[in-house]
This record gives sequence, structure tokens and C-alpha cells, in this order.
Amino acid sequence: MPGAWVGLALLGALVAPVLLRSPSHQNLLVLTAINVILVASLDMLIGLSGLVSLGHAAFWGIGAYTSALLVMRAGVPFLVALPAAGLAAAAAGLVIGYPSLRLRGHYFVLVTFIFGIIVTLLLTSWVELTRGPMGLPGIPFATLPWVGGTEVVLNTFQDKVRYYYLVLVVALLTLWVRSRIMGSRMGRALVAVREDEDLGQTLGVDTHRYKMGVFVLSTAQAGLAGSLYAHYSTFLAPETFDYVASFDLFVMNLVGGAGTPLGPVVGPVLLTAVRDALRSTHPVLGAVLFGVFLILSIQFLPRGVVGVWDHLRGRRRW
Amino acid sequence: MVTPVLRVEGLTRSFGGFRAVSSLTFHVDPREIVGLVGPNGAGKTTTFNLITGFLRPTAGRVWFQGREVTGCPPHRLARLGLVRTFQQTRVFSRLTVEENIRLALHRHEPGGLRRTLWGPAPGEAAALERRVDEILEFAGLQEARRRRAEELPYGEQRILGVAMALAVDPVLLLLDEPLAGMNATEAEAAIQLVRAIRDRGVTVLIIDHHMETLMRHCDRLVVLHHGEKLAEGPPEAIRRHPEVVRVYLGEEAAV
Repeated sequence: MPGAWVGLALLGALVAPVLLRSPSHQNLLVLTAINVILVASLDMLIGLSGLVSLGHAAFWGIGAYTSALLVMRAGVPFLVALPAAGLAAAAAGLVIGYPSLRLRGHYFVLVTFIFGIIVTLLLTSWVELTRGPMGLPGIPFATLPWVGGTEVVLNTFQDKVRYYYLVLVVALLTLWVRSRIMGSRMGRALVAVREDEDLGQTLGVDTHRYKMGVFVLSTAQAGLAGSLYAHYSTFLAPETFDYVASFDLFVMNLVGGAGTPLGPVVGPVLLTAVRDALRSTHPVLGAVLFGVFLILSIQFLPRGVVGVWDHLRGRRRW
Repeated sequence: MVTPVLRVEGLTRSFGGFRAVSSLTFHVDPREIVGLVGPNGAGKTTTFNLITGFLRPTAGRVWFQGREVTGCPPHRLARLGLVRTFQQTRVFSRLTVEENIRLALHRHEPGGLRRTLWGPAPGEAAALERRVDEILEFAGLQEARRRRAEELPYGEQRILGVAMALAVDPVLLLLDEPLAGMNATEAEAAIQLVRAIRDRGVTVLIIDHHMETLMRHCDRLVVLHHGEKLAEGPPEAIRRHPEVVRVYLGEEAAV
């Protein structure tokens, strides 16, 4: 891994809220960090294992609603709701992954895509639980225990910086886990899945088990991102987690560079602001633009922006 | 009497109404090199797929080292020591030669959450690297170790495929046309590698069309025709077998 660049990126992430002082810029920082969690977890499927998921935002949504409802309806503290959101998304990942990961290629893509649509439909039509299309307002801010038995309330309307650092910690953990897995026995087994699954099996790799492992881990991380999003925005709506959102994450992953060390950082940093600006004002233009990014990326940057950089430096990684 | 390494009994596989393999019975003893031969479409590769769990037999059973393994999935068979190569060249073509071998050592690498997150114990990585070196040297691929597999000449890619199978540490190696598409020199080098593998104590079942080569190097041959066993025995007996001569007439009559 290019250590100097990782260090520079880390430094940039740490000082960013000091340099960007306006609330709208800091809002983008938080959303970017949440997208880094989502894209890094998605990249363990797409970049590392060759498992193209077009339903990642659904697991994000399951985490978001789980966490919000647990805090609102059951009075659960944030620090319990956060892991619970991860577990709920992982449980959904287990149920969807077990049968569908036996499918190959396009069939798996289709199942994840359809699952994403089903989740959006459920969030929209289960009005008693989610308030459906009206959305879920008034989600409490995250509270963290503090010294001396007191609590800090992370009021994200008044102060986004503290919340940004909370999200950053989870994002760094996600990136760290991803990089550890990529260099491990599990990572090599998943490379076998990506490159030639039959060959992997003849070498004794229990490919289904590893696919399940990485899928459940990835969906759990998406669930954590959901919880962090819910208590940041304090308002949830089903369309935030629809198939367009899944597609956007997919594009961020490919544009940044699937399977590259810094790709899951570069993609969200480049595209979160674009996406956020367009999604509220010109949603159709936003979708079209991301489609164009995708085509350009596949056509000209098969390893994303990071891949171009590596190419210029004469490096190539597997 | 020794337990055969591999025994198949009444092995049958139908695709619709077509019987690709029909009531096939044979065995392979420890440290033998057995050739599975027959014209195109005789059911050789289907037999391999049935033995290695890529296809489920319609009928019949498979024993590996005296233990029934009918319908066992491929990865589990590999762990037991029953390893195959493929007819087409199958290597991880975008990875380097040493990465290919390293991946093939999966079964010998300890795993677990602690190692995933904090890395392997100091000695473990070095031990695996030594195994990579040893296999590369045995297969004569040290020079190519840092090259991507797809950049190797065809013959060396096939050798790499065999070396990866060897890295799994097989008891029985099933080689599906390891010599296909090789010139005479490459084929000779490859068959010498197969013999060297046998000399390490590995039993070999081999499919190939190079009849002359198989005749010279196999201990026994099993001849398939239309999915059925036509003949079985040592090469000299097969050479004179009237049915075999008849089937191969006009094709490999000189054999």
C-alpha cells in the first residue's frame, strides 16, 4: 500500500473540518465519510470478490430505520442501536446471501437489485412502522456517555464537527478491516472467487463460505453507516435508500477504483458533493450524470481514478 | 490386498436420454499412473467431473481411499487429497506465478480472525514462502515467478496448473489432457513432471490424446467408448486388444 498517500489522506481527513468552516461544507464532509463506509464495504464485494451488488443501499436503509426506530420506539441508547443496526443489516445479508451467493454472475446481481426494490417498497408501504412516504422525522441525536456519568448529545444542527469525527472513526475502522482482509488468507480465497471460482474450489477453497462471510460483513458495515446517517440527518425517507442510491454507490466504487487501496476514499470524495447537489434539485440530471460517469469509467478507467494514478506511476496491483 | 486410492462402481450419468457415462467400474491403486483414454465424446471428462464433484452421478458410487465420496463437493474432495486439473488451461491469469501457488496453498495456511486482523505468526508466513519456493523449483518455474500467469507461454501455463494442484498436496491427482496443444518437447517435459510427481508418492489418473506417450508412461490404461469401458489393462495388452484396435481403426490404428 502506498503509505505516504494513506498518511496524506488521513491528515486531510483530520484537518478538513478545520479548513471547511461553513455548515454546508461540513455537511458534505459527514456525508462523504458515510459514503466512504458504504463504498469501502461495497468494494469488499465488488473489487475484492467480484460480487457485484446493486442493492447495497437497501442494507444501509435497514440499518438506518432499525437504529432510528429502536431509539424512538424502544428508548434504546445510541451506543446499543448502532451495533444493532449492523446486526439487523447483517441478518438481512445472511438471509439474502445464503441462497443467492450460490448463483453466479448476473443472477446474483439481479437478486441484489430486486432485494433493493423490495426493501424500498417495504419502507414505503409499512406505514405503521416507518410512516412510509411521509418519512420519519424527529430522530433523536446520538448521545455518547462521557466522563463522570454525564452524556454528550451530538446535536448535528449546532455542531457537525464532532459528529464528523465519530463517523470518521467508523470509516477508518472499515477501511482498516478491508485492508487487513485483502492481505489475508480470506482475501486470497476471495480473489480466487473473483478470478475463477471453480478453480478455487479444486484448490480446496470453500468458496460459498467465504462469499457468505464477506457478504455478511459488508452488509453489517452498511448497517452501521445507516445508523450514523439516521442520527445525523434526524429524518429518514424511503427513497434515500432506493435503487438509485445503490447505483450511485456502485458508480462511486468504480470511478474511485474497485479493488484499489484508496479507491473507496477517492470515489466518495469526488462524487458525494455532486450527488448531493443534484439529488435534491435535479434528480434526473443526477442519475443521467452518474450513468455517464459509469460509462466513461468503464470505457476509459477500468481501475478507476486510482488506477490511472498507478498507471502513471508504472505500478500495477492485484 | 491394498485399498485402492480410487474406486468407481457402476458410475452412470445421463443428460436427458443420452448416457454420457454408463456403468463404469474401475479402480486406481496407490502410486499408479493410470491413463483414461478414448475417442472424443467417450465420456472421459464427464467421468472426471463425476469423480471430483462437479457433476452428480445418475447412478453409481465413488470411493476415495476406502471412503465413499459420491456427490461430495469439489472443495471438500480437494481437502481430502483428491485434486484435479482442467482440460482448458485454468490458472488465475491476472495473478503472478507465485501468487497462483500461494493461493493454491490455501489448505495449508492457518486462518482465523486473529490472523486476518493482526497478520500471521512470524514463522508461518516464512514456512509458506518456503513451500512456494519448493514447488516452483520442482515445476521448473522459478524464472517466471514474478510474471503474470497470462504472460507465460502456453506450455508453462499448463505446468503452472499442475504445480497449483500439487500445492494442495494431493493423494490422487486427476489430470485432464495435461499435454493438449503442447509440442513434442513440451509434452516430454510435462510427462517427466508427472512421473516426478508420482515418484513423490502421488497417484495419478490422466486423460490425454497423446496415445503413444500414455502407452510409454502409464502402468495401466482404461479405454472408454461411448461412455462404456471397452478395455482395461497394461499398455501392451491394450495395444493388442481386438476391440480397441477396431474402435481406433482409421484413427489411431498404428497404436
